[in-house]
Amino acid sequence: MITLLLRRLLHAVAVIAVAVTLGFALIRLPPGDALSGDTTQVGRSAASRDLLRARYGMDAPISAQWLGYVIGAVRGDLGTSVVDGRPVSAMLGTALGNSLVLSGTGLLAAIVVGTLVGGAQGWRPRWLPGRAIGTALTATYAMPEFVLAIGLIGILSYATGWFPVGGMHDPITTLTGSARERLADLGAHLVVPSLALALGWGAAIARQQRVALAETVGTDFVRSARAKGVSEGGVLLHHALRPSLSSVTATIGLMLPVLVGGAVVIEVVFAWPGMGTLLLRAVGQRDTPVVSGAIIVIAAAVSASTLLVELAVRALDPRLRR
Amino acid sequence: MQITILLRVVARVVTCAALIACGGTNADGTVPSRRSVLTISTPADADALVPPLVGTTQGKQAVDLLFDFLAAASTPLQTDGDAGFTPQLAASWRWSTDSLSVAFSIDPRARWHDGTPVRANDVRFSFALYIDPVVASPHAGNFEGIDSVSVRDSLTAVVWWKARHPEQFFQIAYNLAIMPEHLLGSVRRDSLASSAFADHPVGSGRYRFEQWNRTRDLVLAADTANYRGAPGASRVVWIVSADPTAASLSVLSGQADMIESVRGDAFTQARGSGSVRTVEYGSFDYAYLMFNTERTVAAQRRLFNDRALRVALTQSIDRDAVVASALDSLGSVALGPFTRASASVDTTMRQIEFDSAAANRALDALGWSGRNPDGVRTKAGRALEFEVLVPSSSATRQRVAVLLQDQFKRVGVQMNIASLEPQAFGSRLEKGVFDAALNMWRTDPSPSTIRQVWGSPNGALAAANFGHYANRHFDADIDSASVTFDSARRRVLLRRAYQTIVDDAAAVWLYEPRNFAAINNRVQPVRMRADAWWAALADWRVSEPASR
Repeated sequence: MITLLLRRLLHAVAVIAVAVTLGFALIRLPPGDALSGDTTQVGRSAASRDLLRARYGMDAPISAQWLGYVIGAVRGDLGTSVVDGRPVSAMLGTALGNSLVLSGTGLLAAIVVGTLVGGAQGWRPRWLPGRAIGTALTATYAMPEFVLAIGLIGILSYATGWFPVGGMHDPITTLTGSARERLADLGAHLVVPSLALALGWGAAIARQQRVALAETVGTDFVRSARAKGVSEGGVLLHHALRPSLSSVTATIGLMLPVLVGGAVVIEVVFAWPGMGTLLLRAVGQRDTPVVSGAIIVIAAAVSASTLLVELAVRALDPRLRR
Repeated sequence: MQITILLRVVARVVTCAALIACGGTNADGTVPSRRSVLTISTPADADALVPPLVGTTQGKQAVDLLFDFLAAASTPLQTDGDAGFTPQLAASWRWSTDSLSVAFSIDPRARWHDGTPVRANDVRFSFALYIDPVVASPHAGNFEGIDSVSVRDSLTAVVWWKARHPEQFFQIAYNLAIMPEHLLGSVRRDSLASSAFADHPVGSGRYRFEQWNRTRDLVLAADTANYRGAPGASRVVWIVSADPTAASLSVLSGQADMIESVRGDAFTQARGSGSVRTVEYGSFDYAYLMFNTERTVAAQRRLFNDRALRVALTQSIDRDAVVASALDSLGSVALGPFTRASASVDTTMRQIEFDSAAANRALDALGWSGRNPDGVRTKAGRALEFEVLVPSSSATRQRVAVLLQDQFKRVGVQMNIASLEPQAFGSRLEKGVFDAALNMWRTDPSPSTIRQVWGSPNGALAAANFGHYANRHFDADIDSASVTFDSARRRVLLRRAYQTIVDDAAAVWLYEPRNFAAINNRVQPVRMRADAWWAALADWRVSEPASR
């Protein structure tokens, strides 16, 4: 186990290094930088732009910029945003927390819905309600995220007024509300965007669960359990379900990086201030320190999630421990 | 048994979710007060709240409410003299006999939001901050020609100019937001953006800073004890919503009170809504197809330096049809590098009218009489073909580009469209690496600022003159107009300058977007200026919200 962890750690460091270097180069390939002239109104003078480029080290050779960034990152300094002068680590910390709340809620809901629906479909393939729900889930999965998001806003927010159209909280409640009110407000803002995430992810999980459980149902050990007189519920929960969870866990593992990287489309449509929104804006504005910092965080999250999934699968399937 | 336990857990989760969704009430069951809060749905967050650093409209909206200026511009805005201004931070002012200085008497009642009195030192300090090269303010150029600001006594600040010109007062009163020296004086000028003040600004305006969750929302609260009186709305809240559809829905559903620009289907829905109305407030924006006169195009050195060619290309465009198709009634055909909101505009000016027959004759006469198999005009074997840059962020300009492409094709001109993301677009313009570009410019109430985009003073191109347009008659008329105190003479000179640039076909002047805000009926706006719809926001009336 220690060997495994050490190997994964070294692998993660390599992944992060490659990702940051690639990101560093790619973001600088297209013309322009964060200070490229605003062509819709008179802005800074050329001398002013040159001063700011020098201040942020943007006029140094790329190799020098890269080396300076790497040294700073190793020391824990992810730099300062070129656009608004804020520390990148603080920006990422806030955005990361917001993404974890949204994507975490969506993923949790997706896991519950997906495993329940997929399990029902796999266990009872001819059960009509299960098939109907599964079909509906697949339809939402096939729909473009943006369309689904706007549709949910239209029904649950605009037409009915049940939930807010977007944002993460109501500013007035944040200022004047009690802790309970602020939590309730956050919950109200969380419902529609996390539902948008859950519907898409839930379909993928349900599909995987259905297939995995259907395979397990026909195995000899399940037939043996029934032959021994175990109840149907007991056969499902104690014999069939656990082996089927390995592949479902792997599917969920593929979704884990989104917890950190943010679901960009959903965050933008719902004005959720997470990593997706931050990264999209930073790339558009060529805010290179923010982009590089976000790549480090996301690459680390991908590596960590890969390790978590591997450990989880090993825990579920004893055969893999040998 | 396990199923029963599972069902109980699910029931508890659903109950909690329902409580959370239906929550938001006080412990005693009452709803938190939202009395007269004005909520604005905005597409982007403010970039900064320190006035010299502000570069976005959203930032400007907030700082204009947080900070005072020496005088307030009236509606409609007049830029020459001081007749168009009313006292704000300065209770009164006195011109020197030679009109090279103005002494501003600070209102003794004025206080910073931390209670400290506002003093003349703050005016001097603010001016120094704006023009300090270390601060690198994008607004430093607005103070060219101002020599210095001195302090006569604790309540009298004197502004000194190097030379007289009609817009002296506008220059200082419109551009200089007054900041507290006692809070900013000790901050390193190269670290303003990361200072504590940047996160919690302190001004003297009728609104004070309350909360800023970056990229989420910005809240200003009424300064109820303000020396100029409490504002109408108890709070102003900007909520950031990058997606235009979601932003419009938030206003239409009543969750936000206004959005400053509504277009397309959202405009139609707002017009048909019983709770929301549209309010037009003028525009200082104009869009144009700019030619790079220095560029070698179609193997022709400085192709677009030929005025006759530019005129022929302009004649081949039916601008009315383009605007109608791309914008319907939400735009007007542009008259030149100015808008109808400009006080100096003359809508009867001579234009280069659409005339495809004349365009064809002119292009033939210029030697572009051959045709290749695609029908594109040729001259000495070279096709009349050029590339136009279009920013991918503007759906309108993308549509317009396609319409122009079609219209040019009818006269045998091949226009290729290169859609670029904004930073790349800006970079190419700055470096002059383009044949033509579909640009949009936000002009200034001051007619003199046209020099910054189209001027070539003393033979040197202005910083934003990306197309390298140069005409000394145009420069001379603008320069003369900028120093002439005779307003009638000034109008004549400006009109002549505008006519020169239009006759030169420096660009194909395409459209002025009409700005419509969608505003909830409970909000009564006043004095929405084209350059700043928020200028009198403190005087807007906001009624109690209707219960949903």
